[in-house]
Amino acid sequence: MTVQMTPEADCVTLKGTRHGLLICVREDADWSAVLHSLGERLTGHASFLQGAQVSLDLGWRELDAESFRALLDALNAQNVQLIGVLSTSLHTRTVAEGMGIKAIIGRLGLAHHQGRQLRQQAREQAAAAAEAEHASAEAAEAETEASVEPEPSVDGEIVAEAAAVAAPTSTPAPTPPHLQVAAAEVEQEGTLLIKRTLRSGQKAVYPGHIVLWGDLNSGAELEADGDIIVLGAVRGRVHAGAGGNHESQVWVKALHPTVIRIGDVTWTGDPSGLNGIKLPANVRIKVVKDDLCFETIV
Amino acid sequence: MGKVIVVTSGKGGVGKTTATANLGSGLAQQGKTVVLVDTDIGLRNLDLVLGLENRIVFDLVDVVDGKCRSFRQALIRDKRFENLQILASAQSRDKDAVQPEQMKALCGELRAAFDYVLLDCPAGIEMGFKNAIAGADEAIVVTNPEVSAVRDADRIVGLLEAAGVAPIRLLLNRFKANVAQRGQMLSVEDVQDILNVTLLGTVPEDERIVHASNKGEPAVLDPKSKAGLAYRQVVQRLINPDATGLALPAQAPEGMFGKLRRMFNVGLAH
Repeated sequence: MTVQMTPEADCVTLKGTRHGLLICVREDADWSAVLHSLGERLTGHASFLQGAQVSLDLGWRELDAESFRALLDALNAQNVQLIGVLSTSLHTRTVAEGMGIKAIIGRLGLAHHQGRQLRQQAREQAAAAAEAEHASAEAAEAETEASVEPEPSVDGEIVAEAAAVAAPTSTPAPTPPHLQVAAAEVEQEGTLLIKRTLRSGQKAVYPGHIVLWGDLNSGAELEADGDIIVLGAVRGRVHAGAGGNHESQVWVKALHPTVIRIGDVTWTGDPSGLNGIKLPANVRIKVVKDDLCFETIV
Repeated sequence: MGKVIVVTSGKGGVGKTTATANLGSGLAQQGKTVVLVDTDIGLRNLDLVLGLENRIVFDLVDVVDGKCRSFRQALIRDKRFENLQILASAQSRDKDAVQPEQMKALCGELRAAFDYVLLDCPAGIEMGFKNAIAGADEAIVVTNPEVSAVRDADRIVGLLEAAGVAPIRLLLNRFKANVAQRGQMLSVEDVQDILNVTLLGTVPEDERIVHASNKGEPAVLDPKSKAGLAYRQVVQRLINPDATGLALPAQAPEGMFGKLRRMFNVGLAH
């Protein structure tokens, strides 16, 4: 059973973040619908947005230069300045950088979640409709079918495209309600696998865990809400548990002097402060009593 | 159909222009048709290094603006090689005088007419850099064994990768083997370890090259220059990437005999 998105469903979300105003564009929405919805939003908040600086979360979407130009024009028409783009698509980032917009690897997934929520609603509605129409036995069958049905194909494509490894989609064990939200979010966001060297000036931001299969060079940055694992040399900055989760850990194959943060606990490996101590290989870093604890893994 | 290769670095003063002039002369010496394009608009240098500053009539901006009939009218023939030509940059304009699309079109025309098109890229990652890489197929990243130059090279490699320029190869310039051996400078291995890019060659620090550049004569033609020898090897590798048996020029550690010989030579000279 495939669920068609209703065209009037909102595919653009405005969100205030600690880095300023963020426009989240739903990843599975039609581009013309996105532009339409964006235009409506901008004119609706014209006085509020006049001269504003915004960032865009484009998620996995692959945009060509023409589509991106149309987006810039729509923003410029309302005197809104685009200062940065979050995207996991190399193509989209290249296009953005080609037009002088700063691009960061990553996605906050807010818009994607909304899409998932809407799909869930639509699915429930469909199930309810089916229940009403058919006999109770058939309805029960339909329900099982719906629950067994794998995640919509969008997720599958994401995995293939960006070589991201999604976390198992099985429902997590019941947790106390106050912990449930944070734990479930990280769980659902899964892991971003990056199979290359992150070079100076490149930054990856991800709401889940990050595994970097390559080096993190000096001047590059990793920021994750969950854990960070680097299967190479770390010379750049690492920030795990960026949402404030002190349970997060950092695993590093080869540690060089740099800055490591978990939540708001920071370690600066200033070479002069190390007094010639050689940094060990294969290190696990976690927070113990408001300080970072380094353990060698054998 | 030729190759368009951009010579770039990020950091200034690492030897992009010298490398462009030497590789161009070396390729011409091997019988290839070569054009060198100085894309550093406003800071024209390549003509000086080749000793051609007094022959410039039209420049890159004139060609792009259509002020001369074709690019051929603006090309300056080298003093030494008939098959080496340069397209100088404008000194009185700035980087915004040219657009990436225009550079792409120009590179397309040059690619059809020459075996090798070498683009001398300006320092930095702004407009001048974007212009220079717009039409490039391949890249040579020049760096020095210093942490700041290597970090800038790393940034450049990242940008080149994102722009789809490939292959990207590394030219380690102004290398001092004896200083690296003492651990006071990054070694070839250190630099390769950080950048993870194919090494095209290592060029040793050489006083003769400064002298040669000031005279407007590329060191690659100087049989006594160590840097010239290194550039000749790099040229071989550019023509044939699989060229083997070309040891990277590393100065052997100076043993007791070396010291004695040097003393002896110095003694004779006086």
